[in-house]
Amino acid sequence: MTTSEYYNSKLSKIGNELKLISQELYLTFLNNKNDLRKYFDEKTLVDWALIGLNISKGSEKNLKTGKKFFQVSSLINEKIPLSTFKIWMLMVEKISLESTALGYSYLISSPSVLKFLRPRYLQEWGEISKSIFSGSWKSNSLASKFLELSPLLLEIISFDDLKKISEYCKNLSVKSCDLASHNLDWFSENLPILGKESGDFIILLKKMTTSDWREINMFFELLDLNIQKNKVENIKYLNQLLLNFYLEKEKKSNKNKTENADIKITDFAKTFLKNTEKLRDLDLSRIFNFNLNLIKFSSQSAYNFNNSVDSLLEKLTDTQLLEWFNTGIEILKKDLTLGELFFLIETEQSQLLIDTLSFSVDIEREKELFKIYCAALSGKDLEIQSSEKLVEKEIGWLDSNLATTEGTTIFLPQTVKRFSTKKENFAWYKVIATHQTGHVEFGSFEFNFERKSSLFFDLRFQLLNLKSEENIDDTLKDTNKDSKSYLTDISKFLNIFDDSKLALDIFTLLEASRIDRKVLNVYRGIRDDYLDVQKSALINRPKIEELPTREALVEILIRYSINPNLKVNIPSKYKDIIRTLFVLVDKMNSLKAIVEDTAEATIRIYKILSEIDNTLEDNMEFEELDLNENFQDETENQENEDDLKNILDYFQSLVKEFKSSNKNNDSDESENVLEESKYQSPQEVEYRGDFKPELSQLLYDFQLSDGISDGNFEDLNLDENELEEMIKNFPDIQDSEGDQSEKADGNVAKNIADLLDTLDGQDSNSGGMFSDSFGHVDENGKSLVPTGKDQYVYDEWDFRAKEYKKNWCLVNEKKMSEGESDFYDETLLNYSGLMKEIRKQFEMIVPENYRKIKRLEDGEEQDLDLVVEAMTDLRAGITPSEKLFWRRNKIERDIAVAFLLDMSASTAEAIEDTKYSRDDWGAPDDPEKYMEWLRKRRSQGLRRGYKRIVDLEKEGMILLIEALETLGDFYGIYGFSGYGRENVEFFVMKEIEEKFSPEIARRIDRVSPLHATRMGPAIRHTIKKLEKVEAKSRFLFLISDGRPQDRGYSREGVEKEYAVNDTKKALQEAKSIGVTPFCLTVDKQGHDYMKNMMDDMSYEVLDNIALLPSRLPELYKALTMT
Amino acid sequence: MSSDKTNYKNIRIEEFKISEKPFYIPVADEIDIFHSAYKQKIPVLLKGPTGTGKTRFVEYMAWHISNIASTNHKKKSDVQKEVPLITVACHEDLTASDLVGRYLIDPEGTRWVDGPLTRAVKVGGICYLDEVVEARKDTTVIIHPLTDHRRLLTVDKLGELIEASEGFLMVVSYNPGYQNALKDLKQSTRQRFIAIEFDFPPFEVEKEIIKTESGVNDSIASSLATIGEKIRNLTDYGLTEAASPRVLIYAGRLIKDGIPARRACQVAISWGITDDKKLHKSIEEVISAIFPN
Repeated sequence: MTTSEYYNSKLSKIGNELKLISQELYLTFLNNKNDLRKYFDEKTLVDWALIGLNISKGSEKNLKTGKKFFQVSSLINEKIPLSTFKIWMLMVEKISLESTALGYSYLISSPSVLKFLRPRYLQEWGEISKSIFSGSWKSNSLASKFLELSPLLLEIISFDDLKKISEYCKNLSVKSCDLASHNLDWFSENLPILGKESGDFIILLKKMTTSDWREINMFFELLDLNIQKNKVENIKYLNQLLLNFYLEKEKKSNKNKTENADIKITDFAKTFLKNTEKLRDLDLSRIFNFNLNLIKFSSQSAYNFNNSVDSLLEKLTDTQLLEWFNTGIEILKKDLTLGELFFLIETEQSQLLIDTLSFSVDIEREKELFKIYCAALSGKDLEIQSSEKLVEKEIGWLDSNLATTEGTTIFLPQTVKRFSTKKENFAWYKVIATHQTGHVEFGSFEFNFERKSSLFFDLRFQLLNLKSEENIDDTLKDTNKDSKSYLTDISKFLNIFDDSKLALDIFTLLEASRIDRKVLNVYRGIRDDYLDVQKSALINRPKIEELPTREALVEILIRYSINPNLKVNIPSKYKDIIRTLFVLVDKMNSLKAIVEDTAEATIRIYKILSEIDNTLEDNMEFEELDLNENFQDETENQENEDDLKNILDYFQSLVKEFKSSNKNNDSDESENVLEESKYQSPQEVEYRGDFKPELSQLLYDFQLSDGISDGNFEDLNLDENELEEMIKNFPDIQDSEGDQSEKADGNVAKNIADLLDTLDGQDSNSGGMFSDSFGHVDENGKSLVPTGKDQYVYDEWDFRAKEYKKNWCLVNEKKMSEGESDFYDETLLNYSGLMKEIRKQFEMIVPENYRKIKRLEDGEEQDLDLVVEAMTDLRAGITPSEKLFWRRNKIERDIAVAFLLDMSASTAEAIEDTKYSRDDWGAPDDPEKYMEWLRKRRSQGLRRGYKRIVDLEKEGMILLIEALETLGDFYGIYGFSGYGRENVEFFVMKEIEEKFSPEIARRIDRVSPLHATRMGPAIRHTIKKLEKVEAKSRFLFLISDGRPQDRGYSREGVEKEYAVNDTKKALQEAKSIGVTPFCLTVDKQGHDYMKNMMDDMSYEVLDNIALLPSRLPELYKALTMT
Repeated sequence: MSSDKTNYKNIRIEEFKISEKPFYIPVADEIDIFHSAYKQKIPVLLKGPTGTGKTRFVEYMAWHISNIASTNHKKKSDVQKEVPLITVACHEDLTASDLVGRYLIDPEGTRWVDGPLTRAVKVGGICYLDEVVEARKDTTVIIHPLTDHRRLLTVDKLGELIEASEGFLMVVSYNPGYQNALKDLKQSTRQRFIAIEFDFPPFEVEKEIIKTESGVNDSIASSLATIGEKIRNLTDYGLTEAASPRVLIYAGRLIKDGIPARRACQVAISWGITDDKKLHKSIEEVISAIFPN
């Protein structure tokens, strides 16, 4: 048989077998065989047929695969050389035999893969795909998917990257096949977007699988979100960052550096994506580089930085940001934790730097400064708030960009960014703050209807009578209204006028003008800035020529009041009137002018203006009024009786008119309306803010008078609806309600009434109405009131609001119950060696008190020995010493100290030291004694096999007591714990003045871990105790195991700062009354917050807790010996 | 050698007299009261914040009693010799023997030297113990018999009692504000004195004082007085002691000498009265609001 015959028979044999399996398969085989015969040598052909046969055997699926094999073969053959084909063929067999489905996928994908893949990689491609398959059906379909998607993926990425994907899938499939399969889809869809970054992206994913696979899903969701938003750039940057993130992490783990818990990668991604979402490309690349830099130090710092990015970019320019950043890096190099906080803008330095660098002025940063500034100027305790807070209340103020005040709080715009430098912005801010404070300082809200003005003859009283005549006539039946009541004096005043809106506008402009003059007179230092602001206020005013006459005149007055030297176009026709008006405005320049003068001037100006029709005259002539022309001669300045009579007559006529119009009803009213346009208030002057005298006076009076129940409001006897009704009539509010759509109608009045109502119920001591509600987001609650005998309330410091929350914490003082004295005795026994030493040390302190200091140049008296010596010297002709005096040591030991033990639950923690943890520690050797000892222990229930922090606190305390008794210092021992602000437990083991007794030893026994750690009130209570004690030096010794925390006292994130800050404040209070605080903590993490909490006060963080008992007396000695 | 002129004056403390009229503007009837007390030999306690003119007042009264009072009384016998003013600034190491006197060594043995109080008692002058609470407690033993009807100084080391001469008066000052409760005066001490209270002067008076003392013009004086007034509004904000007229005068003097006003106020007022940086900032804003650059 020739070889060719041999092969032929082989082939036909295979053919037959194939035929047996399926006719169709056989035909496909034949077709392709004939085709391939041209290219293949006989052996290859047989091999090929054999493989086909091999994979076809079995189920239907195999058949399909086999058929596909034959079909695809010629296609493949066209594209690759024979040698490669052979390899491919073997690969098909290998895969198929492992999993038919996989083989099939390999087959169908092969032709298209070859478009992008070099033939030599075919095998490897098969191998990597096969490697994904781990035996389970899920991994099978994953591998299939990989094969089928390969052509698509290869179109975008290199084969190398595909290999990485396969590895990624393989790794991930161990954890979750579904996730991997899902990701494959994602890749085919989205990798094109990433382009060149794909490779790195996959590397990143691979790293994630090893350490953070659970986060992958979330990570992809994040990516999807950003792809939808078309933020591909951000993703690319993120990709790079995260790679570095892992890189650094690996480096660190290689170096075996254990770091604080690393942040989660998705968290990082989330903040980065979120905070960079709005950035322009340029910014983005900068931020990216910053991030890259930071990641090298710590991912936490980069994470923090990203959280700050938003506000940073808002406040700082590029160069400023860079400067800030570099400073941060320097800090990071020195102190990692501090640096991390720096980038979160949590450190003072960081904040300060931003402040100095940034150009905008923000209320949050300047609040404190202006609070003191405004208090200094006005002599009143003023709050500073953002205008937004007022607008939110919906009580009539509408524009959060305008400054305003209601007499107790100065409201300023949140930020000022109108200029490019901080200096200018600040100057503007200061000007408006000064103007508003001026309203308080110069008494805008203290308008008293009855008080005489200083410059005018007072017409108010007569006019009010006229008005009430009108009313009497009007409401003859209603005798009650005989003496009409008013909410405020301003209301009473405005009521004189028919058009109270016009009157209010005049009043407002005159009062603002009065304040301007006063401020400029007293505060010459800000004169230049003030004038600049005034100048800019005149830009963008409405054109006088386009206003109806009355409004035009008001506008002219406003401008004149801002700058009397301004050139304005005035209607020629009214030249004389305008001069008269100006004279009235000028009256406000007088230093004597008070708010009542404003009112009187208002009457006069009102009279003139209301006589002028508010029409738009077509052919009005304008001329420029030269204001420098001196028209204020003395004669004009004096009011003569005629003028006064004129005004009275005018108002009289109004009343008559009113009465007659009431009778003939509306006949001629309608005529008027046609000609005259309704009077509109002028455009506000920004720097003067939003002055609402009537409403403000109402609120102001309310806050001063403790609500409606006394003072002015007593006789009013209003119910809420009446109040609301009256408020509705305020022109202040009508204005704002008019601006709003109808839906808000009535809301404002209601809100005010509600506000007044709450004020009514409030204690007037609890701060301004706008202050307390913006505090710390603790349980909303009111001040607490002590009910029991041993209950005390204390304020708490809210560092965000920078104020005390009045009577916020309730302290329950309890005498500690008595336990056994064994603990006490045992401690003394166990530490007897140490005790001896301590006692010796302390005893050495005592005699010093009475020791004379000799050899002084000056003192109480001469020392006889020394004098004799000196005399001998003199006689012997030697220069005698001049140091002949003695003096008693001036430090007489007179010390009172209060020890405050932390009894929080965390003190239950066992200490690590194994030496002490053995149960039989200290057991006697003698069997008899041992049994006794054991029984005793059992009976005490002291079966704890370890020591707790609190035990060490107690031991230290006991040793100290012994020492203190030798010294004779006064000392008190207290403990604290509690839960929530209404239940701060304060335990008394020993009062300061109490003598030591065995009971005290028994009380100490009962010191045990309880609940939380609200340090502030406990410290304040201790201070109170120390305050009562007379001693030269007083100390507060705090022994704690961690940072202060309690419900509503500390929370995640920034809230933990709250507790620290309150504690700090409490300690400062101690210091301020001459008590020296000292804090000893066994919290190893103590260094970070203690530095802040103790400020310049001394503290110690004890690294080795076991040292506590011996360290405590040492510290005490060091502390009190200075 | 004899041409060597001394450019300092050496005055024995009991001979120190106020010969030139000190500048003092009375706020109320304090001059009359002091005068009356002096006549009646009632010790005087001056209290009030630092820099409100307590020391100046004593100087003024010493001068006033020597000059004005004597001219009022025509009778020769009534004419008082000039009253010396002996001032002792008390500190926490000041003991009774510092006041009374002590033995000193000289070649022949020991020599007794009178302390300032003893000298005042002998010469019949006004003894002014400034910040008396600062002194050690043993001083009260000396002060008590001197300040009641006895008017006796015990010098126990000599075994002597010295009766105070006619013109002797004890005046003490103290500042109730900043000293803590421990350093308060004992009731038994307090009740030996009549008390004159000093506070910051009213605006116009303060302005006058600043003007005269520092020589600045009216407008600067008024600005400085305003600053003082404004800063005194801040006692609730962490200032232990408000800006006294004294610091305002210092600021005025610096300004007079050519230091820019804002800077002068910064160094004399803001930095002087507090170390709190935040307060500095606010105070300086107040200053810059009042003084133009």
